[in-house]
Amino acid sequence: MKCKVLSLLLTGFLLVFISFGLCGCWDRIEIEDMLIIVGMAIDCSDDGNSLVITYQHVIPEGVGGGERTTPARKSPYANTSLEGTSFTETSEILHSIKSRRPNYEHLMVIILSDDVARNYDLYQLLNGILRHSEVPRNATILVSEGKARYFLDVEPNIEDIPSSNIMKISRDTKRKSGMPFVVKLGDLSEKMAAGKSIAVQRIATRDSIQLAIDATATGTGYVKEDVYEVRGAAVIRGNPCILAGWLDEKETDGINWIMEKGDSGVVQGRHEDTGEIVVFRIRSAKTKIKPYMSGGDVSFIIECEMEGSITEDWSIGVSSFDEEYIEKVEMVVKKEVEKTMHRAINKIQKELNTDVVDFGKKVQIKYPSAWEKIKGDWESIFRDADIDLKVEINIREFERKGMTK
Amino acid sequence: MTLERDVGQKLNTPDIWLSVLIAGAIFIFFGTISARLSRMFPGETIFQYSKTITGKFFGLLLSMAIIIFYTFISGYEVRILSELVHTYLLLRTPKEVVIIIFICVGTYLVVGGINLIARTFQLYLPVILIILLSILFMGMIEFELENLMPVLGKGILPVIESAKATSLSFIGFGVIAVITAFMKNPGKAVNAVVAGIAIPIVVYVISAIIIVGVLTIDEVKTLTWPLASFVNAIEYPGGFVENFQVFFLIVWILAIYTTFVGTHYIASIGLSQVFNKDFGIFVYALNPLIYIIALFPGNIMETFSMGSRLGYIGLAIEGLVPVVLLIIARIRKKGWYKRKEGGTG
Repeated sequence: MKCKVLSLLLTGFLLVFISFGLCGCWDRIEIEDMLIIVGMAIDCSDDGNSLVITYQHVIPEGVGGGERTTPARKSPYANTSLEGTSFTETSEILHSIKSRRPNYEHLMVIILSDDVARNYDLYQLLNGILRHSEVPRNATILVSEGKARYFLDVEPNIEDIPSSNIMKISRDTKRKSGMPFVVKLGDLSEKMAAGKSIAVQRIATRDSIQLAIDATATGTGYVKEDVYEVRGAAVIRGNPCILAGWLDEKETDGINWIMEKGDSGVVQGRHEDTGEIVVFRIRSAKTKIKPYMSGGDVSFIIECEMEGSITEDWSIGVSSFDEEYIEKVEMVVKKEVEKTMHRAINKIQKELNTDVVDFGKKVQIKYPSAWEKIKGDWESIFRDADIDLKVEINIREFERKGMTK
Repeated sequence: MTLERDVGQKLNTPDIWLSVLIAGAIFIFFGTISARLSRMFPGETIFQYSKTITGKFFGLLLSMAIIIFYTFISGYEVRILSELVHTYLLLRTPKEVVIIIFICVGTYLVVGGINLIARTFQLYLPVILIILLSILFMGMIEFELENLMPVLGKGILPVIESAKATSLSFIGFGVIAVITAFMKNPGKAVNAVVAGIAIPIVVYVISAIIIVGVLTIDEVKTLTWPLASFVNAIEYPGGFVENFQVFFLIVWILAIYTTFVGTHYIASIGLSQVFNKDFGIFVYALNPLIYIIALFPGNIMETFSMGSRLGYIGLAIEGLVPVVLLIIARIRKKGWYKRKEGGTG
């Protein structure tokens, strides 16, 4: 009898206790209560003393397929710019002015303005973002020329949301020339943790002459999203992590080829004798960087082997079926590639003095014990290193037309 | 979970996987010793035969040390679980609630006894292995061999030295000293322990290679949960696979659960054999203690340092104690040796 009462009491107690667990957990957030942040732009304030962080969030009613003709359709996104001294400070303000709680799980792009990248150590600046448990490590990083928040304001034509437009441009690096491989938040963090330099994609407004041509061509004024481009690269120095300078499209191509990130892009050269244009499309590229060390001097030989096709040739009266002609074109392309690479190397080595390609790693792999001694002043050693090129071009095909006249 | 960071901070070179391999070999050795020792006393656990070997007093002392150690490990496992859940899943749920619920679920299985535990583990092992390995290989997309080089850049010595930092990850093989008593075929205890340690070695080595190859050693050192951050970065074009943490956390909670149940079981059965009382009571009696231990570290740093200390203590309790016991047993001719006049060992 006594036992029965006890077990009944115990059961009753358990039932009450368990029912506490059933009423829901602390962390339940309805999707209607989330403010989904998809993009961020970080600027300096006008007086330069604080940051202006722009958050782009989705307005769910405005997104989605279906009837796009409805005129009363809400805009699918909105931007909020907030001033503060740190990421967390501004995100707290955001929380207090919005009816919904910010959620960073779908953050796609982070744009840093050149001002910010020059004046702040990015490792410090991005610390709050890197610590945040919701921020994905694969958010794309770009550095903008001019105000970063401007690019989140440009309404795209094809995509719904500016952030996803920018992300799609920057992610698609295959077979494009003039832009470095996409840098994600995680990649940047890895480089910064190691104190290494990195080339980040550059986003900038296109020049006004080009825009004017667009405008006359369409007749109705230019398409809004066409006002910016993702081309060239911003070089972030390793320690401290600040913007060192820019690379133009050619220099970016050169770096890409050296880093073997460029099974992409085209090389445009001119025939020496006739001055006609000939364009080579890269199908595959293999690059080997060989470090050599003698005494305290470091030198490198870059061996680059490219395969591809002739994709455009303005010369008249030539035949691509002719072995000799192909060899001639190979020479033209080879010279152009060498020129581009030399230019790129010269820029990063002498002008910016940042080891974007990570030549240091090659030395570390081949001469691990010597590397321990020289890694402290690697940047200055790198500046004086001899870098030689060995380029080999193989034309494998010439597409659908091989002969003119 | 934090293996890569623990070793990475000590080692500073990408050779983490080598450290793990070396440590693994050492632990296989210790595990084999432990299994051989248990085989000499069929049907007895370490709590019983330690008395036979070293006498009543030292046996009791040793048993208590082992019980306390496994209670601490249980508490630590629960705490680590609550920390990770707190960071990635339930940001605002109090850790105490996670801890209590987890202890309850664990107790449910432990009370069921060794057969139930063994069956459950059998069920979990393939699930854990398949999901974990597939997550690791999916992350290979950004793998760069260069991040793992140079191999042995600073020589072999630092690699061996930091091998000890992995000990926490291997803790738990000591169960062999208890479960051999319940095995149908104790003769296979040695094989079982070798397989039981070899599987984690393979998984750890693969994960160390992939994580360092993807994240680089410099980054691994800075991350609180390297493996979780690695999973966070996995992404396939078109958003086909994203936010993989959920799968990963499921697997990881299962893994922690099995460890917790194992250690909790050892502590409980130890107490019941030392005091000769019913096993069930001690399972419940240990729970408040585990709860207090779990809440003992004030913050995450203290949790981690508690973990590495437990790792070293574990090395002594699971590794050295059986070695010492085996030597004493041989000298005093206990167990098999007594009956077989020397025996084969």
